[in-house]
Amino acid sequence: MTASVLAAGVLEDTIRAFFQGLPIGAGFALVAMSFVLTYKTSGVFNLAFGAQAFISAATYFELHVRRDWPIWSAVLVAVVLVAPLLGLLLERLIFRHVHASSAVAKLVISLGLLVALPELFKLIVDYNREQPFGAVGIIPDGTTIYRLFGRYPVTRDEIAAFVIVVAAAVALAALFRYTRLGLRIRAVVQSPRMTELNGVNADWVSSGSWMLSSFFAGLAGVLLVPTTSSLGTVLEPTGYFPIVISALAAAALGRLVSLPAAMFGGLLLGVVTTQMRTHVPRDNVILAELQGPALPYVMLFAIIVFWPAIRRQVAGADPLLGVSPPPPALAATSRSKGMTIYTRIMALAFFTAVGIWTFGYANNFWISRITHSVIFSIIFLSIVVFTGLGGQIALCQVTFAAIGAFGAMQFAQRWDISVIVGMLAGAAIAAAVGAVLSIPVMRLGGIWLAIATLAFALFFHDVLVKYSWVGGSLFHGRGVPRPEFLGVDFSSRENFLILCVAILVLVGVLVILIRESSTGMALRALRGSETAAESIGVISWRSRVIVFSVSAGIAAIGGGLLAMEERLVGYEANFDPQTGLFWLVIVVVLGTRTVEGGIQAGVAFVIFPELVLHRWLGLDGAWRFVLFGFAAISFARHPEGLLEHGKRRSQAMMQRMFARRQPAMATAGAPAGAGPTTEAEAETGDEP
Amino acid sequence: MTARLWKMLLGALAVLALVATACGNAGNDDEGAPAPTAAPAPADEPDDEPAPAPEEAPDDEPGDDSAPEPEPEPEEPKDPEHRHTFVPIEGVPGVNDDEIKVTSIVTISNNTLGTNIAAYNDGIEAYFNFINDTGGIYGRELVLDNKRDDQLFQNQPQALAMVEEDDSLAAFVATLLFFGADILNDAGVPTFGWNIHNEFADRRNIFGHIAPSCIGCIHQLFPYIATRVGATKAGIFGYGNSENSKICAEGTRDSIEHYSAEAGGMTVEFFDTSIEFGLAGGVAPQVSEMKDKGVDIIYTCLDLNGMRTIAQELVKQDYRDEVVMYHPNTYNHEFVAANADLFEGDLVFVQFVPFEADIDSSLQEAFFQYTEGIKLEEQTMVGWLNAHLFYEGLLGAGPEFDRASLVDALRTFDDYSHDGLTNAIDFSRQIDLPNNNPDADYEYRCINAVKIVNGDFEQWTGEPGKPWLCWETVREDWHDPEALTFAG
Repeated sequence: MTASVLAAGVLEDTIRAFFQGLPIGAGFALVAMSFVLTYKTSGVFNLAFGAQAFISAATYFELHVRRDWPIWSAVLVAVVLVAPLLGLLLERLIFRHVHASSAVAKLVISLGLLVALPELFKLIVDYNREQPFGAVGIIPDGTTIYRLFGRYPVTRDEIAAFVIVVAAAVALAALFRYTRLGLRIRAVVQSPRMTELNGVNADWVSSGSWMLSSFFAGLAGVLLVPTTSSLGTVLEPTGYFPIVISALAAAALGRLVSLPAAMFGGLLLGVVTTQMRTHVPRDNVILAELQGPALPYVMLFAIIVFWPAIRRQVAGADPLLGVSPPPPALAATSRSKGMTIYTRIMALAFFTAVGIWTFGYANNFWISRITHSVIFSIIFLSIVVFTGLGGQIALCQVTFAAIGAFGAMQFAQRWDISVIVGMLAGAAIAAAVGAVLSIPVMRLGGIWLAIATLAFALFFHDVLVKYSWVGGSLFHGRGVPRPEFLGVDFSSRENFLILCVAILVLVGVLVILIRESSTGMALRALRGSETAAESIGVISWRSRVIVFSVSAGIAAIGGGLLAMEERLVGYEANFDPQTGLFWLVIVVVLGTRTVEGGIQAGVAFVIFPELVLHRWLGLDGAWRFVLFGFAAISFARHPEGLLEHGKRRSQAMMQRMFARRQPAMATAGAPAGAGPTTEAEAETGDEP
Repeated sequence: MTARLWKMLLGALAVLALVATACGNAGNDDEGAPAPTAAPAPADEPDDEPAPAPEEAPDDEPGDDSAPEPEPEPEEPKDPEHRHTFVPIEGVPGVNDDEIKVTSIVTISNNTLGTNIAAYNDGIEAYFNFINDTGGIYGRELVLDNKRDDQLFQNQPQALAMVEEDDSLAAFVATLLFFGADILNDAGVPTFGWNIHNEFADRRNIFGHIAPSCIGCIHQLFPYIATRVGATKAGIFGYGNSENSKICAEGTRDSIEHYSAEAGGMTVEFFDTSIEFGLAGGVAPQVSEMKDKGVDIIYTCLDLNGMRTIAQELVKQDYRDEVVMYHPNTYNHEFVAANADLFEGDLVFVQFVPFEADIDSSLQEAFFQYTEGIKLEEQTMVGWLNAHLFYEGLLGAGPEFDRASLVDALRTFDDYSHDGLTNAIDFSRQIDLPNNNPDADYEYRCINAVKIVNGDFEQWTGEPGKPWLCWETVREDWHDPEALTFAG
């Protein structure tokens, strides 16, 4: 009797949790399907989805809540006009021109857009003129409650979201399976030129696909507002981020191509969430975490790493897809001796001038800014190692930097040990974590590697940081002293800057050594073709583990120095995973393959917004996100970075000028096809 | 990587490790930061040396044309004699013959909380208008000269820039986190802020609208509220990704369990500190569990986003009328009016005497006069209170004030309640966190709470004229609170 009552209770709880999970799952499903739709119709893993969703929701908010437009007209503008128009613009201005680029290049561009679009929208409509408070849904009386089977409550908003999800899944599946248009959309994604041979206007099909997917992003944006607490209170783009990440797990279930799988994945995610919260006890720390903040990231990571379909997708990809021509030689390697001397003299003069100004005239604020730029240069060199040398995208460098910062803090606070030792210990821990993390994810590559590392970063952010053994104690603060080193007290800003510069030099040399070492050559070979590289004896896993752990260690050293410079671990200010996305964007825009590129990114990250945007141009600091975000588009055309590209162009120009001045020498002394016109010139020869 | 390279790397690391172990950490005596805190001894000036001739500010000096002309004429603050004494001052940042300038650092953009922090500036400016309309202070006007945007967590560089520009007497801070605290404190900048951070503790130059408070400590308040509303079964929520929220929730749980017998056998039936910020996964299972267990009062350490999500789920599960929620952060009139049905009958904690309370406070009267036409927010009052504290500190420092004498004057205020609008603070000893130093606690632990009725607030604690409910801090035994006022 007791057992049967208990079983009935469990059954009742399970059924109730099922119905409670469906509305949550509908939100995930909507986002997951929009993801899949974009990927299916464009081949782009569109992390800017959240930005597109935000723009429609914010437009609706602006019109309906702030300007009192009727719901229907605000929806018409925000979802039916603005969202497709945004999709059209993205396709026409950006993605059409990167169709043949790698998936990683498109991912980087979408990251740039994720950073840039919301900020641009806010600047255009002066969105922050007052707090975006009190957003509402698009369904009239959306909070009206109905009871399924007379007992399970559901709101009109939730019913609408669910119905739209199911209807969209059916309609889109039918579109792709049974209609000529669907076939053409798929064909255009795979080969626009071949499709055009059959008389299909690939341009318009592609534009239409983007408009459709953007429409769904906009629809998801407004539908999520009433069902997501944070969006309904203050409508900010960051509110979409956790939902998008959770929905990625659902999209991954369908390998980003199956709409029904994405729908079922989303619903399943919602139901699993509520079932766990119903049946799993909360008095155990690990189980409690798995019900709460950790759940979406653990699921995402687990799906990416263990889901057979994804493993098959990675293994079964087009073998030629992973075969890339080796990256062109660096501009510095092909310039003339005279040019090299000239460049070095100019660089020396520049740094001497900066040094004189810094130590002779700059106030504490500018010394601090310069120190920050040196430290961020160090951190960004970790991206140079992983992305520039390794050819992969990781979105967790910010986490490794945080580990270095917390390492310095913990050693100093708990054991009164030198922060330098703490920083190095943090670097060792980060390197070890990087090595361990690399083992399950290294074979993924491309976008899956990026997403898996993002899941790890978010897990650290939402789960681990709050534990005192990681993030310190609330009651002791996160203070970090500056070091004494070789009898020198580095507590003054000037001395600490000198220390940071010295470490930057050491790290820069280390990066160059790695680049020129057998590991660096192995990485270059792996970038070209992993299979071919292995056939000549390159051990791919070893190279990948080394590059992952070295990169993590460098980031951690930078993080430790940053904590010392700020005298505390400003985790929320510096190490948020979304901040890390911008780090990647700014480095890939300026140059991932050279130490110089990393340093210039560090300077641009810190000095550019303060000096150029704020003081010279009087612009809002948000413009840096817009400028560098959109500049990420250049990654597809110039994966070496804008600065390296600029160097090649200027070098080629100088050499052409030189050739014109000495035509006789150029023609008489050089064999056919050679001469001062080098790879650099060839590189720029196809420029429009 | 070649073996040679490995050896080089390992060698370099070994050398670094050896050197590092031989080194230590520098002290915190920063760089070229200006000397902190201690006031230059005014006794250096011989008593018989004539002070610079004080000048009365001319009564007919025109005020700021842009200042509002409120009706009716405001009651002047109760002036000490020297309020209008003008003494030329040189070398004090932000002070000239006409103005006393201050800077604010406030989270204006990127604020993801429901709390409108930017309203803090409105409160400061309203108070400065009030003082300037009644003649200013020491022949000068108070001016909020520079409004810096923290842009969410970027207050450290803003603080450093402010210190280096050196053109403000004081800083006013309202940010979600306060990373710039040490920079301002070490530079000796008198700083007034929205005290929700530990960074306000243990820093002599930094003052909050309230004193550093005991976080997670056992408090009779929580079981007392339950006894007042007739509840005996508690549910408690805290965010799983915020240590602050978790400690707060644990303190609530411990308080209820500690006083369980005295509070009619009250029990904690539900405790969850695993929910994620943003609540993308909702709280339906948790509400079902609470309903099953008969929870009749819910305490949380959440922001108003979270409160709304829980309330929506309570309504969905037809359980809203059977439970009272205690809100720590929902004193927001617009939000509550927009969600009237969700929060009917709930209790909301307020850090100061609410706008709705009946209290004899000229400062509150002036607040209403000078904020007319401004959307009133919690932060408007916090800014007003901070500006008032700044003004009172200036009065205490005298007409020849500087940063250090301002701080010293404030640290002599041992019974300061912003004219009754806050619990009385002893700034001379309430510097550290009571968690670390019990002597730094309030004399009375008091609450002020309002009840939500038809989308508006009604005073719930105390009695007319005495809005606070207070317990003596030194008494740990269960005892009835006392209705108090700190005005007058």
